[in-house]
Amino acid sequence: MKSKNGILVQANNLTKYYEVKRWMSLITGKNIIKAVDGLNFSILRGETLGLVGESGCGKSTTGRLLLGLEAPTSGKIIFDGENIFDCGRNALRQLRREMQVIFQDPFSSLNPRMKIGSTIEWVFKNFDLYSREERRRRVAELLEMVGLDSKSMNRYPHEFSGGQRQRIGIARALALQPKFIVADEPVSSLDVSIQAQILNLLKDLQNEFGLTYLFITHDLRIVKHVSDRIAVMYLGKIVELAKSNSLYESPKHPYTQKLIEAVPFPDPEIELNKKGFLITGEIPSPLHPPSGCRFRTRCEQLDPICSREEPVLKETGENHFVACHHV
Amino acid sequence: MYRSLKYFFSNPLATIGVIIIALFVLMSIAPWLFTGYNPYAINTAERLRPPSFKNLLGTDEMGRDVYSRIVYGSRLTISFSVAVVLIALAIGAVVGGISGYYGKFVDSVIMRSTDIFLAFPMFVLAMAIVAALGRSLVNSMLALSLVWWAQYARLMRGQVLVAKHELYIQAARATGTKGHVILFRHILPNCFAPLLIKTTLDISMAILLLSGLSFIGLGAEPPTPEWGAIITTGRKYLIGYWWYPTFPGLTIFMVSIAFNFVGDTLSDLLDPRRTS
Repeated sequence: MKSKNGILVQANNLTKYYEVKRWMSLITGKNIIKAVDGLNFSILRGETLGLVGESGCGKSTTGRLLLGLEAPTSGKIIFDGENIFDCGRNALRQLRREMQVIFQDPFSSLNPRMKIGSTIEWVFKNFDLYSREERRRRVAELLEMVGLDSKSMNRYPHEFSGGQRQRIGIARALALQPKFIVADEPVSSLDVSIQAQILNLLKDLQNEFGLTYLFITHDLRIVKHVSDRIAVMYLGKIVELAKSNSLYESPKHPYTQKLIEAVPFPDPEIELNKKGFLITGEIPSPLHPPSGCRFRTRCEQLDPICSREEPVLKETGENHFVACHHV
Repeated sequence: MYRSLKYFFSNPLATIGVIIIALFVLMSIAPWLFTGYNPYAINTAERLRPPSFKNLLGTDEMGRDVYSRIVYGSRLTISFSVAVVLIALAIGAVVGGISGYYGKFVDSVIMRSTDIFLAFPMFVLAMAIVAALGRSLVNSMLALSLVWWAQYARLMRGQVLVAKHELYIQAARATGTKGHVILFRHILPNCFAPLLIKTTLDISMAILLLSGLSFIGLGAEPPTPEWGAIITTGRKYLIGYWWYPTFPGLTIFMVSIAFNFVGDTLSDLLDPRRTS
């Protein structure tokens, strides 16, 4: 453990720009998608940070950047006290033993032509760990841990259901006993009843192994249940960051407020009364984000300052950060 | 595996195809099992006899037994066709794989080369190469492979480009898999299916091409029994001595279509959209 203040992962001014290559760019100027634009946050050891936002706001990109699967355009990612992109390719590969990922799509995240036991076993082989028998034993152990029969290690991915495949993905993520796991919408493609099982499994594993999670999702009902703190993203920026309870009890950013209100409540009277308050409009194109505050095209509390200046994430209460001019 | 075989043989056409191919492969390996006659034995007393109990498919203008010439001809035809396609596959798959995986400059160079080769009609280019290098079977083989590899390269490159972006490749990278392991263990095995199917269909085409080359005199030299060569000389005997060119022709047709059946069913089998 190299960092002393309990922070496991830290993002400093993290940006990732994608250039849309068109020959017209020579004439009309470059088209840049600012997928992630100046993110600053940290994740404490043992906590679960939820990352929520609409599709296309940059959450998955953030996850990939934190894992080192993509290089940022600028900014730093500090894992356990060290900048992960400073150390060179081989050291980065070694770092994979400490941070892992659970993917959104359980169908395409497993090689369809490899037995699942082999898929997990290869994780050990990549780092030349253990003997053959020991590897097999560990694979069986991992499968049992996630609730699957160890005999299923000789079967192919298509022989399993979605929920089972997600469990296999979790087993694979745990193989190297990492400290940090990025769960990228791990339950979005599963039935609601299975979602609950998987979420409980993730929580149990966290308690047993002291894991740190970054839980990326667009589902607000889930994120409250699993996260200690929550960061809300919009068009590549964090607009609010607070403890789960604080976020739900007193959301300060207009976007967060709308998001929480949009969550269906199982009471028709309340639902019908919501009509006037719901969020309108569509998310602007990431190619041409609005000037100033990016949310101003859908916000009701517009002021001239909103189109001139971009609000900065400021602390407005105990460990509660908001990026809005009206707070 | 067992289920795949069950599916394969439940298709009558594919089963027939496999039986025919197996038969002809056996024929090419051990032709003596199928006939006692010498395909080169000239017997002018028995020239151009119709099919009989003695000569199952009749004799040609030198008195040679047509059936035996077909049996011994299978050796040449099948080994040649398989060789051509396998060489094209080997070269094309490797080149295409490299092109697709590494991209950028390497990709551009390789793709422009394939453009050049694909611009020519296969048969014409093969003819030109054989005419330049001299008429021999090896040259014909070389010529056809030289033209064919480009198709495999293109196909493999396309498959690799798609496979590169699949989620399980990202997952492999995330779990610390080294670059070359990703290429050989994850990408290539998942790209091979279309190439395999193309191989079976191409063997059928190679048989036809070789026969065609022999037909115009650029393939096997007489008196080598090669199905297309037999048809060449037998052409003028079609009227009156129909058995001479007809049976080799039917054989070509039969083997070609057998490979087609097999390739077709194989493509159904390997289609990832199949629910099984």
